[in-house]
Amino acid sequence: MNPTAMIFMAGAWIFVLGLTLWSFLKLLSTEPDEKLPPPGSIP
Amino acid sequence: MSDSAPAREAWGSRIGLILAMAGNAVGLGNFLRFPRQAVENGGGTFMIPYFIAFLLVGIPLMWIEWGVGRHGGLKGHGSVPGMFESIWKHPVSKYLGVLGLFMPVVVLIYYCYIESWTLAWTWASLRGATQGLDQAGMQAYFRSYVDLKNGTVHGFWTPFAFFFLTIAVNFWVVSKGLTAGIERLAKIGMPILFLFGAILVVRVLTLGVHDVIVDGVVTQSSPVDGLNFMYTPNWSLLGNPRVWLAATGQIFFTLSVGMGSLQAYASYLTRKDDLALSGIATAATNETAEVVLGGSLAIPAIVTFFGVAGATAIARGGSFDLGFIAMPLVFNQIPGGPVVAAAAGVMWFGLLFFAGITSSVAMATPALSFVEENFGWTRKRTALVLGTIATLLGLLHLVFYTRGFLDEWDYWAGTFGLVILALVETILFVWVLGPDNMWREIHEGASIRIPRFFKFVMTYVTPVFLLVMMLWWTVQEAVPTLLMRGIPADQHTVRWASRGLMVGILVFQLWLIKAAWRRRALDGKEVAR
Repeated sequence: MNPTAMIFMAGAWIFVLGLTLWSFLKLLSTEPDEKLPPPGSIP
Repeated sequence: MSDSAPAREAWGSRIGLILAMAGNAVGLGNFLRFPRQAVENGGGTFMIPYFIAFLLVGIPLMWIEWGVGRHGGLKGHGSVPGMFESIWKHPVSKYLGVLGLFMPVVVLIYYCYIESWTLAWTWASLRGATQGLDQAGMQAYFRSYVDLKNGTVHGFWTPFAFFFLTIAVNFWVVSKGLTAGIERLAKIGMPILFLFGAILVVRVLTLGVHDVIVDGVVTQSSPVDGLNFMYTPNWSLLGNPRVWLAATGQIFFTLSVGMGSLQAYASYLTRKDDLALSGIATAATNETAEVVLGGSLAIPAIVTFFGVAGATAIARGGSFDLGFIAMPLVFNQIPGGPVVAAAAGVMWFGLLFFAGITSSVAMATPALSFVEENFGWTRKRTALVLGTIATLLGLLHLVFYTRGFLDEWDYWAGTFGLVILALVETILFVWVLGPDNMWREIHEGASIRIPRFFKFVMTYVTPVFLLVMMLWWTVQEAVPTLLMRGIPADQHTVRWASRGLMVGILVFQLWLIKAAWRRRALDGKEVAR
């Protein structure tokens, strides 16, 4: 495969798969009721 | 109204919500429109503006639409007119929100028709009807289906039967309600879509080298050539504004923003629900379907058997040629015989069907919520009436498809209208509500803290991006389209009738909004007494 094309394809795949994986892992690690307080509510 | 508005249905689970939202976003465009846009706009270079637009327009609009939806939902509004009024207390705001009823209804009607093709082709693949056809035969098979005057291949009633079936399935799902209908469909449909997509990607990428005959000369081609075609950058196009707008447009369509359906789904969230992380998860799931699956299927498969020149010619014919003519031809040539060809066809059109139906049920939701909440109808009754209207209006698409009836709806409601709604809602949510309130709103119940940089992006960059896009499209496309430049004269009458009907739908919905608010005012007086 053409190296430049490979770089673009790998970059695109890593970005979307990485974002998907990160967001789902983060969702699974956060209990639905375990929330951050709204901004500005902590003195 | 306050947060103590009448109790509404709620999502059964967080994963169900994200799958339903992602199902709404993942549509036919992920598999048919994206690869075409990429190859026509610089290949790998397209991915640069594409991801920049994703970060500066796509994700911010996701948060804005989820925020608008939840903000309105907490005040008892499941559709955009009420949501806008809950943000901007002005008599005009609810009428601006008509866009959030008009677009999903109009798009739903013609989208169901296209969705019915995927069902018809799944059935055709299953019984091997497209096997053995050459390119001319496959084109005739497609043209015969969409042109009722030429029903020689399928029979006159076949397109009607699949259209009725598609509408029935859609409205049956929405009539079951949020958790038992929409959420359950997403939990079944989305895993199947990804499974079918993954199997097809593995098969396509392992196709190996094949002989391609171009102008009598035999050359060799493989999926790698397809990926090179898709991703090799054309740097000269990076400075071209047309490419940037095409990339922004693709992000816009793929995430289903500016439609009114994301807001309707988000209206079922509570104040304790996260929308910051869930919005990212939804957008990322859609991008995986688009870039990883959509980008690795049609173009690499078609290049393998038709070469780059052949794929370019097919892509120029349009997304439907890519999906409904070229892909069945590819399946006919995949090693393994009729069984493999049938299985590949069922998986390809099956995944398109699930991509379509998880989007179309979302498009039905705003109108259903509007009627239920404002006129006190039951969901089943609303689904039955809306389904009947969609069927009757959809028949016009079947009859006049070849004369541009659908193209008009697709352009004005399914393309241009989306940018207008997105711009209006961004101005309302960010500027009328105020940047600080907007920021607080999207952080209510949030599982992550969004980087502060995005507050600046949502306040200034996203609205400017949308404004530029709208102005560009108005000059470049909307005016020539309105004046029917380049449209054959024999289509003008049908196209004007198509526009007239759209105006009629818009006026009717404005009247419905007026009637709904009058009814609310009367109910309010009743309560006051």
